[in-house]
Amino acid sequence: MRNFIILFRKEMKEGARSGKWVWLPIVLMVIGISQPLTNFYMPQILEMAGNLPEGAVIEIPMPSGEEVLIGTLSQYGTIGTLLFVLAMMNVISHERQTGALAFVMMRPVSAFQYMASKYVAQLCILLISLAASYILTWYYTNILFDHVAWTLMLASLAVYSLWIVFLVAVTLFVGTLLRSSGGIAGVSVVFLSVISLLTTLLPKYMEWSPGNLRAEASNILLEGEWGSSATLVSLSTLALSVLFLGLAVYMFKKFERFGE
Amino acid sequence: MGVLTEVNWALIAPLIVLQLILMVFALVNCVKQEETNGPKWMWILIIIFVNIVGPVLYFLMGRKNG
Amino acid sequence: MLVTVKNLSKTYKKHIAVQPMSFSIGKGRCIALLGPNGAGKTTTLQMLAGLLVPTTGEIEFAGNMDKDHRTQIGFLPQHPSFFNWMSAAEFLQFAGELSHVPKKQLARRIEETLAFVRLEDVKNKKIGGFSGGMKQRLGLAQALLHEPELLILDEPVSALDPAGRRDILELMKQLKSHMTILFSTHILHDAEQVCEDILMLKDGNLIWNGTLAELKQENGALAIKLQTKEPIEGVLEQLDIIEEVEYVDVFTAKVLMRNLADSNELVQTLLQHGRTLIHFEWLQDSLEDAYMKVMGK
Repeated sequence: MRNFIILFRKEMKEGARSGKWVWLPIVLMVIGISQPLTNFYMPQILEMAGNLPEGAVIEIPMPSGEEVLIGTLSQYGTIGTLLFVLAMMNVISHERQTGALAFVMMRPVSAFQYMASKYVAQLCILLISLAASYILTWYYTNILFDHVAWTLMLASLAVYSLWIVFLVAVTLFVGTLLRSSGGIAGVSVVFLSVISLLTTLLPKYMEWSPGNLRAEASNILLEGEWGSSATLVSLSTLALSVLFLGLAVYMFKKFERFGE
Repeated sequence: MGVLTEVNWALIAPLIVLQLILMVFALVNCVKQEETNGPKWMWILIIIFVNIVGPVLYFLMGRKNG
Repeated sequence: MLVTVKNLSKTYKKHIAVQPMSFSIGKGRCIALLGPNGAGKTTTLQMLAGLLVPTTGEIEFAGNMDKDHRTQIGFLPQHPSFFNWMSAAEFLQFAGELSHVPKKQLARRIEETLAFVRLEDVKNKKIGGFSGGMKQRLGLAQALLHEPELLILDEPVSALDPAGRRDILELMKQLKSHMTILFSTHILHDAEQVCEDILMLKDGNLIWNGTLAELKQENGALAIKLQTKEPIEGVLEQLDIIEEVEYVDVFTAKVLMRNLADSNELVQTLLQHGRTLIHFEWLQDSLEDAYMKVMGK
């Protein structure tokens, strides 16, 4: 436990020094609030584009606040996922390539402590960025559109956060398989996309899939209640995350060399 | 340009401010960096002229030792 | 014995990096691990440091039944690569905490080691801006920090300029008195300067294990310079304890001995033949000769 805390503190410090604690939340906030703003100013944007014949009247139905938040979740699902994977593609590979990992593993540190510190630290950065962005977007949505209850907002955020829980576990695991950062990011993104794609293509067989999390979160916003399938999806996502984290620890133990 | 007057700048301002903070933060980090992947002036141009994506690219790939 | 190594080996897929080897390390000794590049020096040291899992064999530390003996070891890798965003003091703090050095003691140890490697002035500077020599000294500091019983240094001086090299060798000499040191090098002169024991590796095999003196005795062609008042010629040729004689002038000869222990016999023979010895000098042969001889076998 003590080693975990020491390593975790080091990860947090590294996140602060590298600027990740600044740029990731800002970029996510920009992505988040762009959604209600573009929804709200859509008529003006189209007009500015200027391709409309003189006198044309644009009729775009105003979306509800819930729909705007669902749109935001969709942005997180695509650009957000890509950004998250890219932001943590080299958390292991960099230390492995430079050989700095040797300075950690020459001391009495276990593979689990090392991996857990990476996992929890990255999860912290990503979840806090996500929450900051989502809450700010909710605030904007309340001003520009109709009011969405904060309980629904938080519930949908909680469910969607599980996708991040899963994403971090997958990316860390891929990070123990490959050495190059690009490869790690590529394989992780492809894997996560395939899961999402299969979930939409084969809904019957993929009820357990973490790819359903976004739909479940949207459902909470629209229906105002916790769907019956949400429990299954949440539990299976947690189980899969534990599995991937376990595999990551196992693969890490099998590294033959912690040095260069 | 009647469109612009219809826009509530109080709502847009935070978005612009966030982007400015990101750009300045990336610029300061880049200038302080001893060595970047590729010429530094190129990264400075990317950070300034490519909105949002420029600073992100810089933070992801611009630095030699993260 | 501080460390006993039994049957240690490492195989990568088909390539055998280290053949099964056994040796032990006495407490307080300084051992040099010699051998050409690719002989398996780094592999052996990394296994000892717990960074590389051996294919076969055991490494036992005296009084430690536990398999994990990383707390007892301080290790300096061949190409130390630090967290460049940390300052020297921060890095030592991090390393010391991971090695479970008690808090109060750690603050004192950080000051001590930084002073020892002469980095106090730059302790709050980022490691990213350090020179090679500074990084090597910081590497030494982190290896010493938790007062390990065994200090393992992988090529500690080979990447340094002459000044940096002298620095590290001087520090090693100071450490010798209160620590067991094992270090690899391909520079024989360095080994000779600080060490009393030698391990030699060739193609993954341990081909020599013993003291430096023994190595020279057994393998170094021992030369003696003799000068007599009377002409020396005519006596030495009869002796079979001599391998070769080279006459410098009529009175002076350089003699190559087969065995160091026979030098008394040499002197006696000279006296018996009525020569007055006015100069007797051991021409200490370099380790290089012995090294080449063992490697050539």
